[in-house]
Amino acid sequence: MTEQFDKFERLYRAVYPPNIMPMFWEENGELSSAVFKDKNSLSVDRIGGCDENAVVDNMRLYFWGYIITVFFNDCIACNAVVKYLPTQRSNYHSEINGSNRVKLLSQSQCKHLARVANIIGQH
Amino acid sequence: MIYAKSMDVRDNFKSWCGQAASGEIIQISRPGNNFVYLINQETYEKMSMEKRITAHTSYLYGKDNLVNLKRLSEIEKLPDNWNNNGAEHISQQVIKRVRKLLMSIAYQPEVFPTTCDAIQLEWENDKKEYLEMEVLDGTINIFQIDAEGGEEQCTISFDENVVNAIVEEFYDRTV
Repeated sequence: MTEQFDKFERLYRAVYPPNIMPMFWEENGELSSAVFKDKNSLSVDRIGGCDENAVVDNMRLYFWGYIITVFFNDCIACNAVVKYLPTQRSNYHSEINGSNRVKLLSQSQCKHLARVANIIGQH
Repeated sequence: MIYAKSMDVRDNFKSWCGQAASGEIIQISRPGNNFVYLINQETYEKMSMEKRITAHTSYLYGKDNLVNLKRLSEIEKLPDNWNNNGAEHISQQVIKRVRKLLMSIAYQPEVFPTTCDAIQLEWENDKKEYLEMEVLDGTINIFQIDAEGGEEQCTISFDENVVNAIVEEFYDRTV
């Protein structure tokens, strides 16, 4: 898999659903930007030209809950940096960082991603 | 409860006091349905205490306030690795600061934990403007989006008076 991302490449992240972890969800049912604040880096899985089901099935081996997705372009729009960093767990693993130097996303970047994120499935 | 006219009580006050002292509540009617009650000390203290507790509870735990304090208690119980990605539990200093804010703030926010040993407070006003405060131990990162989409970001030292002023100003804009 190449280190380059396609503009409309989807990035996936597992999030606990409201009935398990209501503290990530706003009263109106939208996702809080707090979900995107992770000082250990915001891990996501990329689709990387593969089938979406393959990526999601692999995530389901390790994570439980909703799968949310953003486009690579959404990250670029808020000046975030996406890095392809495959791990033992996942060949699709990537990180969304605040910048090349800072892993943590800013409040503005988190809010932007929370607004554009889509929920694609629950398991 | 015993009902009496004021003239009955006037004529035999000692006897009525005796009944009240034994625990009876005596309602004494006066012109214009302006009742007077004769009660003993124990009943008075009990009623007085209940009134204080109700007032205090209402002050501390308005509906939204109660929801947020419960949410904060849940956040307080989060163990290490609560996000399945190595997040540590939220420190007591941060919990205490947010609890203090929730007790004093006029407009209750939505409350969320973050993995940065911080608690995020969010408000949205009628103009769909957004205010976010990330409360850390000692400082608060403030982020606002106005109705036109303009963004502002700053960091302040923890001061509940300043926080209250910012939140009130945020809601005053919609008036």
